Amino acid sequence: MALDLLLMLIIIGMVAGMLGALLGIGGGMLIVPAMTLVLGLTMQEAVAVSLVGIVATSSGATSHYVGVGLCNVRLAMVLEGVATLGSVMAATAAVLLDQSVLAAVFGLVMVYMAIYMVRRPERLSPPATVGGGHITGGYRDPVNGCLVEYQATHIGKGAVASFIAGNMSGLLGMGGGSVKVPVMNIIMGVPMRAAVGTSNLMVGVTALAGALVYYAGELIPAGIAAGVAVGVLLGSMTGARLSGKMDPRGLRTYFSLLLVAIGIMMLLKAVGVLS
Amino acid sequence: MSDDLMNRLLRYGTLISAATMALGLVLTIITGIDPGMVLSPTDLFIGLAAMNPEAVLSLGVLILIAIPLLRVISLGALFIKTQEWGFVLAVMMVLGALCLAITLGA
Repeated sequence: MALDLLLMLIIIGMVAGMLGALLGIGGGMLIVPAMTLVLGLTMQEAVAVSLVGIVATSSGATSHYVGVGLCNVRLAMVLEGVATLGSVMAATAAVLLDQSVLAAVFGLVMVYMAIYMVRRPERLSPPATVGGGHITGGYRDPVNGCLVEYQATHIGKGAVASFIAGNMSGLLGMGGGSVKVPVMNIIMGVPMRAAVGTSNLMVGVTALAGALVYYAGELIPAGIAAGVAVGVLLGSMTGARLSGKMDPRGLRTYFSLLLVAIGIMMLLKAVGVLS
Repeated sequence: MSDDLMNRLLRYGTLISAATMALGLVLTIITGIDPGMVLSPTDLFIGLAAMNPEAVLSLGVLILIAIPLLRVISLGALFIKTQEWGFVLAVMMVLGALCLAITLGA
């Protein structure tokens, strides 16, 4: 492997890992297009590399989130059963699907995600009604030091959303955090910081399910995946430490513009305009 | 398993996988082999005995993707210890889906 290629892989991984940890997403939104548009990998190879990168994002950031009590492991495991199943089913389908179909679906999802990230509201207080069972949690706020206690409600709705997030992960190489975080926050009443911390644990397990399908099918290019993963580990550890100190809203707006541009390029690739 | 022990598992597991991948990447640059190679699990063990760069890289990736699996198993052990059987069932579901992933992929 050439040194310039290795540096490129590490930089792609670092950017994806840092943004992933800051925004509670896996970073696949950047890794998949970088692998297909810049390095010319097939969609299946790009998704496989991305899933390894997402596991790295999760491992790097979750050790921090568990340490400061922002990761609700009980809630994560309850939602993860269906998310993992969704990821396995979608990864199996992705191996069999046509390249252009996968690229087109990826492009459309990117544009939708960009619009959603800019518009998404944030729930600051718990929901008024409690339904469908609940799981409790608590943490000390890293900014003001106050103890925050909450009840995660509407577990059934959260499970349906987790299944959809699992589908996205296995099919498109995304973490699915862009679905899990807002659903935990808005529908289930989990505070945003705890939702991001819990999502970081969950995306690693969801991505693992997809990665196992690709690993067992001998579809993971190890050298490229390792280069990206090393970069992601460095980026996600830095991002997790910055998460308590900066407001991600401004970052989210700029990131959304980037996603629209990448989404359009993936659509152009799907119709054969870009190679 | 306490949060502290889980945290250490995550941290050391991640460090070991990162170090293994970094060693593999250095060997790959020195030998100039194709970074897009794919190894089967059987070739991995044969290659490791000969310290092939491909095998070292694959081992690093394998350790990395094993970390979430160990995390799920450790949570299962925690829930058995605290007799939270509903959460034990949730962990069993996750492990069942992961077994299905290997079967379908192969």
